[in-house]
Amino acid sequence: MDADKYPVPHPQVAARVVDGEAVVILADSGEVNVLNPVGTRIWELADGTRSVQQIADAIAEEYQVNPQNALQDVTEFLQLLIDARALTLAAAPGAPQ
Amino acid sequence: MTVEGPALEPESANLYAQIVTRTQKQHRLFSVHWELTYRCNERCTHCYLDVLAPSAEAPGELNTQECFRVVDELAALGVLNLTFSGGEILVRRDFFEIAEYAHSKRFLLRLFTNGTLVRPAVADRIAALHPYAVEISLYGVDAETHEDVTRLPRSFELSLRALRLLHERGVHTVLKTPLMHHNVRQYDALQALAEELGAQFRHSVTITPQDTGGLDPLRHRMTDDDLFWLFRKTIEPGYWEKRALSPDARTCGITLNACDLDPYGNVFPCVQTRIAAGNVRVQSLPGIWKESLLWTELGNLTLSELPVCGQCELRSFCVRCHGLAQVEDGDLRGPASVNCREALVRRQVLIEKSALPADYSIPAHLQTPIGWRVPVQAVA
Repeated sequence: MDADKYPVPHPQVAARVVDGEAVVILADSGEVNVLNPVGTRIWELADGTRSVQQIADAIAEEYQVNPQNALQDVTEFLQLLIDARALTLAAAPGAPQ
Repeated sequence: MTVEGPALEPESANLYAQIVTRTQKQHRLFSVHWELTYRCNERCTHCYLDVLAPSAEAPGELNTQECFRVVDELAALGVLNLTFSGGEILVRRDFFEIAEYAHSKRFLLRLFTNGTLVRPAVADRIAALHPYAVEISLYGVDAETHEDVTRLPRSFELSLRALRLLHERGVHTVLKTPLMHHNVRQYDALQALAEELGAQFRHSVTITPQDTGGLDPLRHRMTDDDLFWLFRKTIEPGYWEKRALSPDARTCGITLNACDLDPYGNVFPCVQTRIAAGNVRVQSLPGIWKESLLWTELGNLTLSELPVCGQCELRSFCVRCHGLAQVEDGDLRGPASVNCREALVRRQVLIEKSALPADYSIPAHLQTPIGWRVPVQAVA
């Protein structure tokens, strides 16, 4: 995954954070996903205004973890969400949503 | 990472049920039914609304900017499920502006429409909203039956076209039918038509009075024979056998995590219970949701607070509605006679299916006819 790309929610996604857990619904299939606290934080950051690298940097700082490990974990998790059609990658930053 | 890594846990049904329960326990607004307009191009004979002509002046309707503000407030409150209903939503020229704005705020959208205004370009725009479902009412499997209700020529053909156009675009469609005397015997054919159109089929059994109190829609209600015919076909005894309601139980989820908004900004507990908790033009929606005493008052209405229904032997077989009890029988805490009738018929059918003993009692308040038409003689 290109760390300079900007993850943004897929147009089919409906989502809310309930008690610190992101509820991410894929409207086309009705599939419901609930993210744990770290996943929820990544979801909140992936609003189209930050690159993959910037998200990983933020996670590394907030959770006091090694930046390289954070980038690897964040990239794997984002890829999971992209494969599920919950996120897409944009070449340039968009407006915050 | 030294913390628990990010995870995605797809177990849709269970997870969603847990989240909904949590929002109910927390009195957290999660689902909103929003009637955007009472203007409509159909003139349905059974409609509970006193609808206006599509081109009518509706000066009291929330305008586009006010709707945007409400959408923002709903998003800030954490509402996930947002249903746009009417009237007919597509007669609002700004419908897509409002819906696309809501889509950008990541609501799970559901659209109620009669479908008659859904041309290919409109279907494209609806599909781009990725609604969870588009629900279209059909009142029969042929033009004559359907249009006897809608009183709009070609509405049958146009509603079918909408169901097809949306299905072709991958939109989840629901063909829904309020069952009435004139169409109930088309139940199987309606199911088959839905299947042919790739739509889910859903029916309802209760025709309600108009919100203004007008009783004219009630003449379309199913007869007792109709109701017996339907329940014998559709009742699943296992569901009702498990539904043992204790005195602490609620009869519905009113006020827990949902509300209704009308086109003029009034906030109601639900679409049937028309007691306003406030108006979004006067107060903020978060303020209404957090401060109105109505939520507590209605939220505390468990069966034990309902003097007749709480003691009723049929309570576990009754789908009682506070709003119907109020509008049709004049007492929010009293029996809703139409629900009593349904419970009586359900009891008899459950006896026929050996799910209840043959001598399962009929409560005292139903030993003599109540309300407008609960013919106990025919049921007992």
